[in-house]
Parts: sequence; structure tokens; C-alpha cells
Amino acid sequence: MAALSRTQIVERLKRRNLVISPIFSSQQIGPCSVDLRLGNIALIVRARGLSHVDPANYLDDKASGEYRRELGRRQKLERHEIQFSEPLLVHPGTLILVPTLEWVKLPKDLQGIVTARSSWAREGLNIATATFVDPGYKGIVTLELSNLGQIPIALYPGVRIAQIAFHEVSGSRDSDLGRSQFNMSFEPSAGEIAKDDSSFIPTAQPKGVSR
Amino acid sequence: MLQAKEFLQEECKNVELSLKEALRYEYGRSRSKDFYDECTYRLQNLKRQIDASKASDLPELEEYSTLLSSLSALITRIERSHLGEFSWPFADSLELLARAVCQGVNGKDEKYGAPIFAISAEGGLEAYELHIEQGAVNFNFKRRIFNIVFPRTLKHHVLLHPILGHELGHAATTVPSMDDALSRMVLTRLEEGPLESEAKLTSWIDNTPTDSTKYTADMIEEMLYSWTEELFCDLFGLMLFGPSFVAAHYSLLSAIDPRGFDLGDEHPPNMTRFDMLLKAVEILGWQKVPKTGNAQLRVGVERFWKSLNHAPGAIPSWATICTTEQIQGALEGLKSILQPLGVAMYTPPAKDVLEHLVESLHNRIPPIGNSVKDDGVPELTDLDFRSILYAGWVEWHGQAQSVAESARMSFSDINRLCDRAILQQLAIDLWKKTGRTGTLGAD
Repeated sequence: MAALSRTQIVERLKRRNLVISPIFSSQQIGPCSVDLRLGNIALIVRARGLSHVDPANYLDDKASGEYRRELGRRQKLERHEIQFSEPLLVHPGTLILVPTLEWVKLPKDLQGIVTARSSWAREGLNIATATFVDPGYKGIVTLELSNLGQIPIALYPGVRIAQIAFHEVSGSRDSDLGRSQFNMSFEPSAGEIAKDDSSFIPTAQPKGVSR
Repeated sequence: MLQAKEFLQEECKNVELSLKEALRYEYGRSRSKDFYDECTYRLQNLKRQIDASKASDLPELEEYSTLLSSLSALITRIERSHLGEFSWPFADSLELLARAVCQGVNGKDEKYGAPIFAISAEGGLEAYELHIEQGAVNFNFKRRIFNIVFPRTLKHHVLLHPILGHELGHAATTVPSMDDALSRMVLTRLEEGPLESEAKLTSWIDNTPTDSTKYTADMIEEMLYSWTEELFCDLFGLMLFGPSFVAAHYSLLSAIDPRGFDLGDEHPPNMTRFDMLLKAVEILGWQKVPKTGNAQLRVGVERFWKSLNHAPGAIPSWATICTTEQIQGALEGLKSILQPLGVAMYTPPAKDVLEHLVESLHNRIPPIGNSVKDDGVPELTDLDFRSILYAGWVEWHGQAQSVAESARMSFSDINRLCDRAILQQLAIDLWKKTGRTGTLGAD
């Protein structure tokens, strides 16, 4: 599996066979990757939200219907919109979901791999735990920021914090993409950790869960 | 029990606490401080006057009570409406237009400093509003606060937000130099025919499905004044936002009054407003379908205008209140006032720009002025957010009906792509403005 070179990336961007938009400067495109910038939304885990993460809280149950699941989703994360030139402070030990400023659209023959920019990684900023972007994906890329250092880090919307590299996927068909070819992602949201795993998760609220 | 003066003194402390509480949230870079400073200034003035008043001077205390109450209401409205409750990229762009309008025809509003624009969100489809502070306040304030209100549920529905162009028309009439020019060059043209006098308006109402005898003379007098201003504001919104104003206007008003026949004290029937706007669009020549090989654009523009021309069903003949000549005269007046204001007046995008924007939307990409050229050098172009909105409407109408519904974009998705495009275009503007010296360029 070979990564796309700068020349190949540029060629695809020109033909719009791959979209990363906007690109502000040619320096944003590296030898085999494209830098991604911080977007304007931050979802921060809320101190008085859930007592702990439990996939059982992501399932509907007979007693409360969708109420408990939705309550958990909404109460778990605080949502902030950040204007340009306003700082986002990432404190040690926190997890913040942010979107990229860029809109990314991958053709069905490319997979994206997102990693931190090494300069930020050296400051203790970890940006991605879910690093794959599927072929056919359209939308912002969600980055999971955490600060592994000991002092807070200030970030600003528009600053380059991540990079995406591309690998060709062979033999891909439209049917492999499923609904993802139509869906678009506009902002980060809480994950669906219980999806398709309900057989293994009790629906009754586990002991000790506050909400 | 508290006496009136004691109560007002107590309430001053409460309002001060509310104002401080408002700082708990973000409202936008410059708005927060300006709003806080202005409200603090007003509160201190008011507090001083209440403290100096006699407890027995009840009329004076009543006046202070009203002022304190309205200040409290304003602070509460803003406090509950922080970033995240409305589309701030759209609000920022709208504010630029509003500033251009409120600078007055001579480049300044003679009486007050530059207004502060506070943005908030409220419930209901009729929430779109611009609360304008008039000058009739008996204590000094430094700057007027214009409160632009968006409906909370339509946060991302930027294609509907151009309706606020109508509200900016109301704002313009509160700027002395603008009001003077608008009265002379625009409103006089509308004050002809049925809107010339109470008698002529009564006679016009007699030809509608509504019985004019249910309106008193006072009501007709009020209608004459209000309707003229409302129709003027519609033309003002049209000249500010272009075709997307017509689409937003029709979509919202039809949802509120589907029949479009209601004669209100303040607003003329929707059918009358649609009739005037469609005539105005025809005069402006905006309905022309671009000569292009791009079928997507051609079909989109065709269907967009067709949907508006046919949407109200048949506009009944009674609905006409302004002749084509009147409308043409009013539009010419508006053009000559708005053109010198720089960014205020809508300019249709060039064909290739519109083509690029619609194509981007069609490919599910936010439509912005950015493309990559040879060797990865990007091209960043200026783009008016109103062109993005028009492209959004064209794409909404141009989506091929032959495509399965599940594969078509929803109205909500198109709105969100346009919302995102306005945000990204702000970033492009900032990049171009700051080069490599600002935050965006500091990498």
C-alpha cells in the first residue's frame, strides 16, 4: 500500500477527484500529505455530565425510550463555537472533539489517514485516535484533541494541527460505500459506541450510573 | 413593602448582576465588550437619576421604571443568546451590511455613534426581527443597540436569513440622513395610487375579498403608513440580498399565512408583497437564464424563477397595489442611495462564478472562492456571501428530479453547506487580509 505523493495529491485536487477545501497556501501540501486546520467548534467533556462512559447508556430502553440515550449524549459534552482569533485552551488530561476547518471529500479509491503534525506533537498535543477516513467520505474530519503535556496549550481556529495522507484502495465498488456516499458530516458528535453491539450490552441501567 | 423608588434602586442592583452574568458566555469578539460597556453606561446613568429623584415624584419614577425594564429585557435577551445559538458567520456578514446601511448617506449617522449590533435567537418562525432603539430616550446613551434576532430552530438555515434584509430597511429609516433620502427618492414613489390617501386605500380594500367596513378610519390611517413602509422594506431587502431575498420572503411568509390574503394593520397581504417583488425582479432583469452549456446551472436558474412565478398560484388581480412604473421609480431611488455605500447593494455574480458555486454544491462541497492550480498553488478569490446564498437556492431547485430522493440533498444539507461556505469564506478573507502576519498565517 503506497501513499499518494505530492504530485499525485495536487493532480487530484486540481481535477477535484479529491477535495480538501479550502487550501490557503501551497505549503499546506507536503511531500505526501496535506495539513489540516483547526475548525470552529469544540465539544468538551462536561464535568457534571455522565459519571462514566458505558455503552449501555447509548441504548434505548423500554422504561425511558430514547430519553436516557439522548440525555446522556447531550449532557456528556459541552459545545462551544469559537470565532477566529479566539483561543481554545486544551488543558492536560482533557479530551476535546473538534472539526477541521477543511471540508474533505474522498473518492471511492482513496482512504485517508490522519495524524498529528509533529511540531504540535512535540508540545504534547495528541490529535487523533481514530485515524482512518473512509473512501467516499464527505465532511469535516473529527479530531480528538488531548494534551499529554503538563501545561495548557492554546489553539486558534485556522491553525494547522493535523495532516492527512492518502492510500489507494483497490477494487472498491459503490456498494462497498453504502450510505456513506450520501451522508455528510458537518460537525463532531459523540460516538456510537453501542451500535450493532446491543446483544452484548444489558439495557437495564447499570448500578452506579448517575444518568 | 417597598416604595417605588426603593424598588427601582433594588432592581438597578439586580440588572447590574444580570449584566455581569451575561459575561459568562461568548457573543463574538467585539460585540461582547461594546454591549457590556454601553449597558453599564446606561445603567449608571439611570441609577444616578433614580438616586437623585424624589420618592414622591411618581411620573418621573414611572419613566425610570420603563427604561430600567427595557434595559433589563435587552440584557436578558442577549444573555440567553450566545454563540452557538445562531449562525455567527452569517451574522458577521450581515453586520457588515447593516453597518454600511447605518453609516448614513454622508458616511456617518449624524446623531449617534456607530450602532452596536447584538445578535440573539428566539423561538418561532416569526422571530426574525430587528429591535431598533429609537432616539426617544431621555437619558444619554453613547451608542444605539440594534438587536438582530434569528429563529433558534433555523440556526443553520442561512437560505432563509435574507429575510432580515427587510428588517435592515426599518433600520435605515432610523438613520436621519438615510431616512431623508429614502423619503424623497423612494417612499414618495410608493405613495401613489392606492397608497396615496385613506380614501384610495379604502377603495382598494373594497376590491379585495375583505370587507373594508370592518376597519375604522384610524386603522386605515395606520395601514396607509405601515403598508407603505413595509413595501419599501421589501424592496430594500431585495436590493440588499438579491434573488435569495425573494425566495426567503416567499418561503417564510407562505408558511405563516398560506393563503396570503390577510390584511393586517401593519402588513399588507402577502399576495400584494409577492406581486410587487416579482415585478421588481422583472425590472431588474434577474430572471434571465445564463447562456451556458452547464445544464445544471441553466435548469437550476430556470426552475428557481419558475417556482417563484408560479408559487403563489395565480396572484389575483386585486393584489396589485403598486404599478410597474412606481416600482421602477422606487428601485432607481434605492440604487442611487445604496450604490455609494460600497458593500450594501447586491450585485449578481458573474456566470462563471455562479457556475463554480452551483457545481460545488452539486458535488456536496461548500461553495467558496478557492481552487488548486498547478504545483498546488491555491487561488483564493473574494466572494460575496449573497452569491453563495443564491447558488444554494439554484442548487435546491436544480437537483435532478430523476435522481432517487435518497440521493438528493435535503434543504437542510444545502443550507449547512452554504453556512459552512460562509464560515470558510470568512477564513479566506482573514487569510488574505493578514497574509502571514495573523493567526491564520502564523504557521
